[in-house]
Amino acid sequence: MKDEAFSSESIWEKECILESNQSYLISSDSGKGKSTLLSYIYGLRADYSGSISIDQENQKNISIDGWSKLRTHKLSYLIQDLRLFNHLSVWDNLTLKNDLTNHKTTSEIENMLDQFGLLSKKNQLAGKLSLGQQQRVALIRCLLQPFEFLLLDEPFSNIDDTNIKIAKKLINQECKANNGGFILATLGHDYEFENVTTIYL
Amino acid sequence: MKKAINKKQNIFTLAFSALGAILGFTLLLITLQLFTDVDTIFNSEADAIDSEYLVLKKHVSTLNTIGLSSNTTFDSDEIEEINSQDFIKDIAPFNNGTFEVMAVLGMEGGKFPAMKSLAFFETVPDQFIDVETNNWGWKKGDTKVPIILPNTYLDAYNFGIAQAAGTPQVSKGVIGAFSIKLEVSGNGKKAEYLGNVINFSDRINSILVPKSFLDFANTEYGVPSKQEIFRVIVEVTDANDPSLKKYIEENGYETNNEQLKGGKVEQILRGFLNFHVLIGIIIILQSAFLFVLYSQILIQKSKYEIQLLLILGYKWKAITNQINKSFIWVFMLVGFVSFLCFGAVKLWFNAWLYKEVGMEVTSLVSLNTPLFGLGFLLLFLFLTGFNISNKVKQLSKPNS
Repeated sequence: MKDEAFSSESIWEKECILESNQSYLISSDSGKGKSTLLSYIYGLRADYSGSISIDQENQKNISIDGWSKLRTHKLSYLIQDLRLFNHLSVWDNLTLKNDLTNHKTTSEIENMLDQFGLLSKKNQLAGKLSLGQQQRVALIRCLLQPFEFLLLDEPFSNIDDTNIKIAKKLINQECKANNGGFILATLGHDYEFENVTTIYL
Repeated sequence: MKKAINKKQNIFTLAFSALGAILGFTLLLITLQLFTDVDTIFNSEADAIDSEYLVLKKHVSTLNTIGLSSNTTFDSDEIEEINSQDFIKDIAPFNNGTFEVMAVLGMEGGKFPAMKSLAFFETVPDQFIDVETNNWGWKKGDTKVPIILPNTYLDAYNFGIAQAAGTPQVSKGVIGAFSIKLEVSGNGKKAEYLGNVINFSDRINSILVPKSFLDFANTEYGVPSKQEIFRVIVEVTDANDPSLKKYIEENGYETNNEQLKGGKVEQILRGFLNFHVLIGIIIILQSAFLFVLYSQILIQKSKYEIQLLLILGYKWKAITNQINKSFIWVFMLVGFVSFLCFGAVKLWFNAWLYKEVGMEVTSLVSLNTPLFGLGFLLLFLFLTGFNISNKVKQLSKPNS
């Protein structure tokens, strides 16, 4: 890790290493490329110069199937626009992920929904939920897999303080359980997370 | 995953593509089956009128009648020349008798009128005779001579003479009961033999006797040097061969075999069927194109869902398989319905053929028809499957 990358200057065009058992906040004003950086890491975009390596392997050399494996075992991503299947129920949206990973039991998922006060909405179409509710469902979905890094793109933008606390608790729990960390993109708010390194863009 | 993708299916477009495919498949299956049926029909007809053997003769004109031209015989060079053609397997001349024969037909008890007629004898090698030749032999001293008559003689009697003279018709079995007295004469000699009809030939329109008898009688009562060849019998590889027909025409030969005309009808019919197959294939390719187009639209419309599944970590192959599955069902339905339609048309066609043409096609479906159909279905599956997997793969690549 090059320490200067994490100074208050932008990390673009610098080299930095992110350790999976640590957590990071990407902080900047809007339009500086927080979401872009996360989609680079997750392999959704490749329109950059330089290189990104995951476990010493250049990302551009990872096969399509290799990405599928990474996305079910090592990287989980809460995209800013949530990306739910609006025509499917909340439950279907969650099991669609969990069927792939078999990471949580039904009662564990129901428990998460319950903590967010969404258990009664289980069979409702995702598209019919409020933005805040959708954000919580999307957050639960990205916790239904093992990971080394949880990529969270402004995960609390539509959630009230009470639910932010619950969300933070769940995130911390899962990071601990998976021995992983998170990379959270934020508009400057640090959400009082402890032991996080801030990356400036 | 099925729920996530299938929402975007457009039933109307899918049904339209399927309908086109069913139409194309039915047409193709029918045509393929017709091909086989035409083969069966023509082959059986060919068997019935003996397509593999032809009797060649030269044209007899008025000049021949008044004795100005005598070129109706075949010489050995000509026979050799015919034999050298690719489509000729074997050739043999008709050897004729050079003596006088008077045949007297009658029956014990006088139920039938006695008939007396000038007759002639010919002989061809045994391998050219189309009927059983048991008891086919004669040696010097025998008074009984086995004879093979043309079937047309029996028909002429049964449907002509018997009707006109009011005498009973006879079957092939009964004919053995007739005694045909043969009065052979020539060279100032005379002898009587008893003709024994052992069979009737469809192929050879002549009165046949064993060669040993003909040779003996020719020496005894005739003039062997006067023996001339007016007709030859040939075995051909394929009576429908256009080059055979051309050869016969060019050399001014004649044959009474209708098969040569049949060959032309068959050619026209086959041409027509080829055209049908072409139309069937065009329709099928068009519907295959529609399916490919439809699958592209489906993927385009499901782009969000497919990309999301990829983001969630689904493998592109699993997604491709899921989309393909829905097409497999559609194709199976297309195949099944097409086959039912084809079966219905075929049953109707068989009934029509039996009623109108009196031809019975016993087989409903030949094996190669469903095999071809299956082949085309697999082609459909391959084309759409290939297209789908390509598109999904494209979507799984990061934007750059």
